[in-house]
Amino acid sequence: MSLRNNAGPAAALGAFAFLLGGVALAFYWVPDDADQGFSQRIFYIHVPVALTAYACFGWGAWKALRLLWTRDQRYDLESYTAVHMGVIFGVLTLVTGSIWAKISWGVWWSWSEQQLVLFLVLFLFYSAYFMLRYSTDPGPRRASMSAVYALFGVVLIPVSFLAIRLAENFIHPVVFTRDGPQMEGTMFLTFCVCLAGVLALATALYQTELAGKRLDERLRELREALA
Amino acid sequence: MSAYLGDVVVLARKDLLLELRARDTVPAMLLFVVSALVVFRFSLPAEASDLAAVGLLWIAVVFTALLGLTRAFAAEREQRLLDGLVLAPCDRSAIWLAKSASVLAFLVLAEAIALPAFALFFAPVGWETVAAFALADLGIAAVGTLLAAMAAASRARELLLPLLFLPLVIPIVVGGVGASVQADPGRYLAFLGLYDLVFAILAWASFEYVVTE
Amino acid sequence: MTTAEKYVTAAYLVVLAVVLLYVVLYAFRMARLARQVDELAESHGHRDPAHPQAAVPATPRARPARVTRQ
Repeated sequence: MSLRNNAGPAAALGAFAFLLGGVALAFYWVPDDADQGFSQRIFYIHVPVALTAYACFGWGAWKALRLLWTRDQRYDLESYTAVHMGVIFGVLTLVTGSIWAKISWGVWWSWSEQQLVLFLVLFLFYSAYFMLRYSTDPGPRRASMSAVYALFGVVLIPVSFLAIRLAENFIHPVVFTRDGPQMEGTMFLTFCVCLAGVLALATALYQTELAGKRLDERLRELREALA
Repeated sequence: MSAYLGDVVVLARKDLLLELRARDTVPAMLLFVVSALVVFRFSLPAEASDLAAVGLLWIAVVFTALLGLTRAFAAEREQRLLDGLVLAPCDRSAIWLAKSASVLAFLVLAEAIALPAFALFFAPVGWETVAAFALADLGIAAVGTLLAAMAAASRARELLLPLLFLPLVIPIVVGGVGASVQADPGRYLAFLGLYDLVFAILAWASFEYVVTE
Repeated sequence: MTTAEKYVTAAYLVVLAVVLLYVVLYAFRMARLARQVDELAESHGHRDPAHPQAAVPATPRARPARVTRQ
């Protein structure tokens, strides 16, 4: 129980330490990429943020599954919070990815950038999740509908990824790859530190947001009970 | 198993009979898809290739499906039938299967008009396109019916369905347009089949949670 | 600073800005929750000696749990 209570502060502390270290490493320690030079350093924030967004969506779907499985209503708020965090990190992925596209190709948006297109689709999908929640009356029905929709989301991720790959062939025959040379040891270490930092940040935000949403809900119940 | 299929047949027959008597969905879909094609004719510059027209055909069909789907649960909602259906002694997924079957039937009817009209107005339609539409219809009906049930339970209703539906239909459009315009339609058709399989199973398994508390 | 450096810095700053924005929005939410708790306490004749008037945008000390005890 004490671990559960301290998970938020611990994650926040971890996020602070890892992100500070990660940014320092990314800016001052890692050598320039042979191919892309200095601009490759955006990788250390963009990719961890993207992976964290996936993790949040996955976590939301897991909680959604738990809700449908056990019918325990507290999972509804947890699933909602995870999706909420996923959308925040998804927007960050879109913005940082757009900046990367600007440095690399001089345009803010490139349809050949599969990861970005996928996040655009996911952004639209999960925005509709919010619309669904806002336009349905609170209760078990809304909880299970949101859970089903969140589950559709994690299935949509690989399906959309495949679709975007296939669409490449007739929308944009030119394929850019960022694979290039294998990642060096220093680069990989920096990447791991940044990933740990962003994941810890997401955990801290998740705990905070969950506490806030719970407080909101309890207060609303209380007002109804006392009214 | 045969009892389950019996339920599905009874429920689907009810939808088709209702439509046959009231005729408030299919004529609208037919008129809509032809109007959409005519509008697209005027939105394409003269130099635009037939390939662009194929893309617009897919858009026309997706929006026609959307039109049909917004009406899919209209009768149940207006007459407060859904609660009764849910209480009926049949598996809830049978409701989904029956509703998907009737949506599929309406969609196929709409395409039976849309494809010849497209061939008449724009360009001939190959077998790949027909096969792609057949596969896409299954996916649209499966996913669309589930989302229509969700939208029917919300306050926004007709407004919400396109928002829920369009992001999920992007893979279908990719697969369909790819199969229609690419030289090797095989993998696009396979992708559509995969989509149908995955989402049909998911929708079949999760429909119960959408209609019950 | 080269252009690439500017853009990379901007990307990191965007992340920071979003986190800060989140904190700001959360502060607003906390203020709203505290206000609601105060209203609730007041409408039920609860006078907290620690809060002679609810004029001060109350601190999160005024927890809902306090009210339930009534």
